[in-house]
Amino acid sequence: MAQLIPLIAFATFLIVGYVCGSIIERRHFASLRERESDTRDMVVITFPNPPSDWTLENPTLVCGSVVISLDYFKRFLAGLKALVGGRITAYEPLLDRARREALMRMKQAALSRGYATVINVRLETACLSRAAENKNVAGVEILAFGTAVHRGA
Amino acid sequence: MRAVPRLPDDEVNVSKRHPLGEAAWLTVGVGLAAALVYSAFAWSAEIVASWIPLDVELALFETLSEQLLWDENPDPESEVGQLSALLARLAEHGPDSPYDHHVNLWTEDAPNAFALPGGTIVVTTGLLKVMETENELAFVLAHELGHFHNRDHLVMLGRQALFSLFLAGLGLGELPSNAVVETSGNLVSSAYSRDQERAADHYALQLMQAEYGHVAGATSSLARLTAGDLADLIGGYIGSHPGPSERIGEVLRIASSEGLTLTGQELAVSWPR
Repeated sequence: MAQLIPLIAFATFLIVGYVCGSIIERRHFASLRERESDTRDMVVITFPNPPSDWTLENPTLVCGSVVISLDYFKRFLAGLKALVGGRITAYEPLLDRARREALMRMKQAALSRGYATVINVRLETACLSRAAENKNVAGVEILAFGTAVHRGA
Repeated sequence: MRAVPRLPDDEVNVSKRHPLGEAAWLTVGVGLAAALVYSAFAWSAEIVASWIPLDVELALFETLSEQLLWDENPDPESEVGQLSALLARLAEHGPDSPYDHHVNLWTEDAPNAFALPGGTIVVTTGLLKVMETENELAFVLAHELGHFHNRDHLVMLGRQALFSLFLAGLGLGELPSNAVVETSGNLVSSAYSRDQERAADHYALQLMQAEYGHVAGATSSLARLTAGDLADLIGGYIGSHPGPSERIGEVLRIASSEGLTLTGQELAVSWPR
């Protein structure tokens, strides 16, 4: 019986991880789509130098960052994938959510200060808290930043 | 330049494959591969074990034996002394054992006994508490003698060593599912040792018949080992020994096919239980 306990605990973690992770992920994507749709009029571009016919005023730095954790199920799946190789598709929604959320927050930061244009947008990523014991990546941070500008006539 | 705002990409960066399907495929595939490699290792461990000469085994496990610190001449009145005497009497009925057998008593509530390389038999104080008669205890000791006779302890050790090596090589220490790996390892090695347990039971019955003229106590010994435990329900699948009822059935079958006497006078044990 005692030998079964770790197995049961593991299965519980997997199920809890999968169920919670899926619900949170689905809600996050829904929220992202809604907010992206609300802010679709903003101009967010990666040019470091704006086109010459734009007149820019009052530039300021805007950032948005987010930290998103893996769930147990995804971690397990990625661990298995690490044995055989190949694309870790379990991480793809996680990173996609993080990128879009970071950009979204950056846009909100710009909007709240009355900007409708962000140029020279960059994305940075960092792995957070590699647990010393088992070296698992606990989560991912994505930082989006750019220069918010007012466009003159 | 005119910038036309659009919605961000919602499609290309996330694979459509369902994670559950992927998990199922990976688990089954990796599990099968691991089982295959493990069986190969287990099989080679058995071959290697039977080739290890006894003096090599004794030399290898000399340090282990030294750490156990048994008493060369235990007080004949003490529990260890009586166990040693019982063990010596039983061993006489078997073929000449090249091992120098010792009994080591461990203070531990769980009733258990096991064979260590080099000839030492470890008995827990919990075992002495649950065994009601000398015959019941004799069955346990004789069973461990059977493991030495078949050199099972080496096979088991070799298999575990190879398995650990295999896991270390895979770098599975980094997986979050160490508990799973261990448990599945136990399952595989448990299932593998059931034939060995039967053979040891068989050997023990023969020693008991020779010593006492009957094998009374063997089945009650098995029953006591797991009384009040769930092991009987799941033992057939999980435990390192076949479930007790399965083993009791096996014992009865061996006894009837070999014409062993099932009933007889059992001897009392002299220590307080």
